Amino acid sequence: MKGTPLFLPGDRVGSWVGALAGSSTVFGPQVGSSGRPEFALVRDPSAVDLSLDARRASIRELWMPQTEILFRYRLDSQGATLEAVPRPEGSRVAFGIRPCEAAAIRRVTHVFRQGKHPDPLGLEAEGMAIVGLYCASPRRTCFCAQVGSPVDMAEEACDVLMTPISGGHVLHVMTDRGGSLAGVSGAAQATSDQVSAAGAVHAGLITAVPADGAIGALEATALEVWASEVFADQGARCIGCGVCTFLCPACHCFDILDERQGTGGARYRCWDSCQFDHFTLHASRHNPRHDQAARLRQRVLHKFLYMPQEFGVTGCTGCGRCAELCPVGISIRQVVADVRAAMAQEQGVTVA
Amino acid sequence: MAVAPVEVTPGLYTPELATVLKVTPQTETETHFLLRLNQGRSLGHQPGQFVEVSVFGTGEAPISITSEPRPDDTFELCLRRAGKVTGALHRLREGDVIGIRGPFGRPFDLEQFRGNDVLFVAGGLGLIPLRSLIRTVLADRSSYGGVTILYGTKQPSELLYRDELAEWEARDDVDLRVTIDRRHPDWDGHVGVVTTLFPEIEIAAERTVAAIVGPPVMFRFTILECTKAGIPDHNIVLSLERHMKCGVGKCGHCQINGRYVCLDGPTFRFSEIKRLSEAM
Repeated sequence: MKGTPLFLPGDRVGSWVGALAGSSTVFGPQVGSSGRPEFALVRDPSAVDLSLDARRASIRELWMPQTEILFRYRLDSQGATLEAVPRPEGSRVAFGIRPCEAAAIRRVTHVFRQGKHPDPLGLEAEGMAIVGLYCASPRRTCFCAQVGSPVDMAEEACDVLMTPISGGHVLHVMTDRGGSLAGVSGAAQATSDQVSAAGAVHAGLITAVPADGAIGALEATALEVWASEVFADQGARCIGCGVCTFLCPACHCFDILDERQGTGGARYRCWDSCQFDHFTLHASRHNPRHDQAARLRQRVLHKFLYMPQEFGVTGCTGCGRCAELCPVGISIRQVVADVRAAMAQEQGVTVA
Repeated sequence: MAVAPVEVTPGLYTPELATVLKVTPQTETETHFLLRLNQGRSLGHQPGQFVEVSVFGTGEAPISITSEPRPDDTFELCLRRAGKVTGALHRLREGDVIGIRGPFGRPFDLEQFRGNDVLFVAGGLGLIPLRSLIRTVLADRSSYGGVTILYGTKQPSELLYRDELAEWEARDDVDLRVTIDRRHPDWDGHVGVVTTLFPEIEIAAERTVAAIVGPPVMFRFTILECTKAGIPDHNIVLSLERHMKCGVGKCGHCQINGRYVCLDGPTFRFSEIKRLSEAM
């Protein structure tokens, strides 16, 4: 693990969050209004609880609000007057999110920065500092170690990584920005025993993730993967509810809608899902992505073929939420593993 | 993490206002609009591009630009009343204000057409985006070889731009052929889908570039005819329709494999998309 190791006693986390919240907007794991763990804006630093398992909550809110007003308008004799909505200002810190979630946030910024029309969301997500929290143990559906490595994801995406060990956390400072964050923690130099304990936690997670084969980016050509019957088999079970995409930390598709009230209103962006039939439905009623198998293929290949081709990274970091919450038990890990197995049987197709 | 600076487009999703200068009904369901941006700047589009059109309070829809680029800063759209936004657009009158974002998308590559015979094939509403290219070609007629326009609709009442069709028909440097899918009492011209016009024309495959726009089934059969005539895949150019929202390669709606139709298209060479099964 790169970075300078520090040690922060467990009872100092609250005061660190308090110090960070003094100069930044901080999001961290707390018990939400629903009574469930979630990532939310920190109003009371003592409410941040790193022992909460918020890995079922959506992390996407942190960088892409579920509903975001793009501009307001007022209808008048000139037709319309538009009023810009200011972008959020000031520094933001995501505190206590997992390496898989951190990597997902960093990877979607590729999409929002690309092309002739960069979107401010991409820069804002990049500008968000991340204090990662390494997992002591995986959840049932976690597969970060199959789609990469949680250690690599932490190094890729976190400014500071916290690793839980007996009595507190080892902090690895990865970036200059992380140095400033850790600077107000009061953490001291870690002892060599503490560093080895953290190393054991790092290795332990990788060992603990169910080891049934790596499932990195697909390297088969698009047409060969498209022909796979796996999507037809698995897609036949899909009910198109979209929960996989709404909980995914790397999904980012959105809709743009108007809401009118009297002579004014707003245009806003809200989350959308490629698993919905109307996502690709033309006004003429023609639908080029006409069944659930095709929609499943889009979700899987976007993450495991198109994003690797375009940006060199998978659009899935193995957080496992989609598989955990899918009402019909579709696992993206299993779908990709099955595609790879099917491709391996066809001569001349690379699935390295 | 090293971060390269990127200039963020101000108001990426905020339209400019434009005023409707003239409304010309074309058919029962299609209407043509002449527009100008209120700020006085030229739209600056190329044939094949589209704009996102806003009716405030109703929403936004991607619409092909049907006019050719020209110096007077006006531009034209033509659209079918099909959904919420296009329904609201059909209620517009002269002087009304709408929102415009764009132009977006990859235009037709004029260099590819210049010096060659050009075969336009339009099915139904496909004439709308092709009209921009046709008018551009006709405005600089001597830079191109033979110009053939094949245009088919289901019935005579659906024919768009009848005045212009008559003008093109009258030119001796344009070979225009119009067809109607099925026999109709108001029609004494050619009957049959647009591909039934192919046996009537001569195609010099080695110097012909085809531009095809129409509904998905028409694409498939027209491409087949072009291929049979010997036109190579890279000289068959299409403009694809997709459900689009952002127009700038972010929202995900128009993706075909790793391609965003709004950024990488809507114009594509057939060679670029023939292996993508969702393309048509």
